[in-house]
Amino acid sequence: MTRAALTMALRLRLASTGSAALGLVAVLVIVGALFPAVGGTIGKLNLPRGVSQLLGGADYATLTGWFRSEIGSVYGPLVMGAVAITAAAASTAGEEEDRILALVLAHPITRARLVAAKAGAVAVLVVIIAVAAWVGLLIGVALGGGGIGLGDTAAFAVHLAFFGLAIGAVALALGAGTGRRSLAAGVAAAVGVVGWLINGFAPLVSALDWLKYLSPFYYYAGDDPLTQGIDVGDLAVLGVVTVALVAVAMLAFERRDLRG
Amino acid sequence: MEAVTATGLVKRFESTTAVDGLDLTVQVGQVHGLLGANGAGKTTLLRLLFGLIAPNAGSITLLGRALGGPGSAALDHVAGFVEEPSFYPYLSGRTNLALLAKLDGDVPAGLIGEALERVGLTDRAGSRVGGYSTGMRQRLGIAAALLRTPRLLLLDEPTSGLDPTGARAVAALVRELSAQGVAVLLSSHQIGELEKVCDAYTVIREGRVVWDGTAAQLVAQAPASAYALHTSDDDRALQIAAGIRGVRAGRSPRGQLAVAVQPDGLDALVLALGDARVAVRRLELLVTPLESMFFALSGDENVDELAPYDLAERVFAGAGADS
Repeated sequence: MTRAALTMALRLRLASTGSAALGLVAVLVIVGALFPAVGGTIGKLNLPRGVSQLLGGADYATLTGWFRSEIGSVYGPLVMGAVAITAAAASTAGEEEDRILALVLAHPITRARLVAAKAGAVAVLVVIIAVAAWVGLLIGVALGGGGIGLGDTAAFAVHLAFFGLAIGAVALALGAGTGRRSLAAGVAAAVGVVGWLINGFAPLVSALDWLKYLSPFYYYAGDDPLTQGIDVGDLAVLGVVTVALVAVAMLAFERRDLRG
Repeated sequence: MEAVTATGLVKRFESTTAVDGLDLTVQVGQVHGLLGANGAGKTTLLRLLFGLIAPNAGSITLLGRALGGPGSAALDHVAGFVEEPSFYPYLSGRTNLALLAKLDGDVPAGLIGEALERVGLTDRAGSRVGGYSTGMRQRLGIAAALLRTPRLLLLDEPTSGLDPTGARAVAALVRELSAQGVAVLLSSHQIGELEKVCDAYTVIREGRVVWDGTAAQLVAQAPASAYALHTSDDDRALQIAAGIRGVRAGRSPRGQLAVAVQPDGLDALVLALGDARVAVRRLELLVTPLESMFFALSGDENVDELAPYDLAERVFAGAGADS
């Protein structure tokens, strides 16, 4: 039954996620192709440290810095977050608000298994976006003149995937726990945006530096996977947070009264 | 054997008690009507039976198996819907059914087409559900329930939004399923529709059962039905009616004659009119036993003291309310 629910959840979001993935590939290819023409003329921007941090260092002089700033710091996590949050919020709270869950739960599937299937579907969609990011990056790097290793491009995609899983799990837990789509999507998006700002600005004040550890962006890009490869510790943190939030979603969804 | 046994059900929402110590029994093969005014607790009861919400107290047994907490799986062969059934609007009716059918495992080929045909949706099966009317979604909901080869159907206002032909088709389908041994619990405010199909009724008021019994018991216990009476001499008929015990007669504001009477009293009245050479040209049933019973149990006024047309007007007003 879980497999059927997973297939059902995937079927409903595959078209929109496929479009987002194709768009991401196209943007990465265009960004890579632009580097030889404009990268050298922009160079490294002299920005305040926090703003520079927000833009992944704002170093447009190198292909690595170009991709880190153009894609890694904003666009990549933005697309990933949008797909993960939308899918997670819509498949739990959205279906409850639309009164579709009542008909689904009239079938012999437990609520915990249904949430597990929804989480599995979100994970598959996240992987699709991450693979698209990797493919686009590979093509973009080739068009941009090379210089970023295959392993580092893969590491970026893996870190992006774990970021998507964690931010999607926030929406899933809130959606399953409250049954309110806008709340789930809004709070998860806020976690992403506030996390992005904290990761950029908190290190500027030594007393607030510890806040960066609360940001998913710190574990996603703190050690720059495009040059340093995979950071197992960072991925473990995002992974544990994801698993914990999915468990919370299952428990919360099992125990409360549903609408519809 | 009981298809539904609910005992001592209580459901509270913050300070409101929606279901208050409710007992309900539905027999296998029986079509059981659930009646109640707006906010009486009918939909809450159905949501409890589907396990969408958990009772604060009491127990539920469906088809001989205890219903677990809200996290437990729905029971096999229990199908239906609460309120207007909803589907994925951007998918076709057929695709929606195919997705739902997969949740039940392997569904025999052709069953989806058969279910769509039974509810008269074959022609629109390929259209997106977002473009369906309320009645079409109701019918698709019934088709989804049929896919589960139900032994117990729980239907909340299944004829809501249907035209008279569609409502009759649903009533016929319910009777057909009942004849095959399926138990049906049917909630509706369309009393006329319930009367055509139900073997038994439970009337709920403020979360409590105020009447429960078979259709025959209801007819026997119901307050007087109301009839419009057209005779060759209404003034004389009024005088004769006034002299017969248990018959209340009066005129509508338009001067039309009406009587409120039990079936045996009606026989006496018609015979007396014949003896007095007053011809009965037409006798129309204005208020059925179920309608008068529903009104008596869900309203605050004494039905037995109402003038016949007042009774009819109140019943029509109550039946028109959305419950």
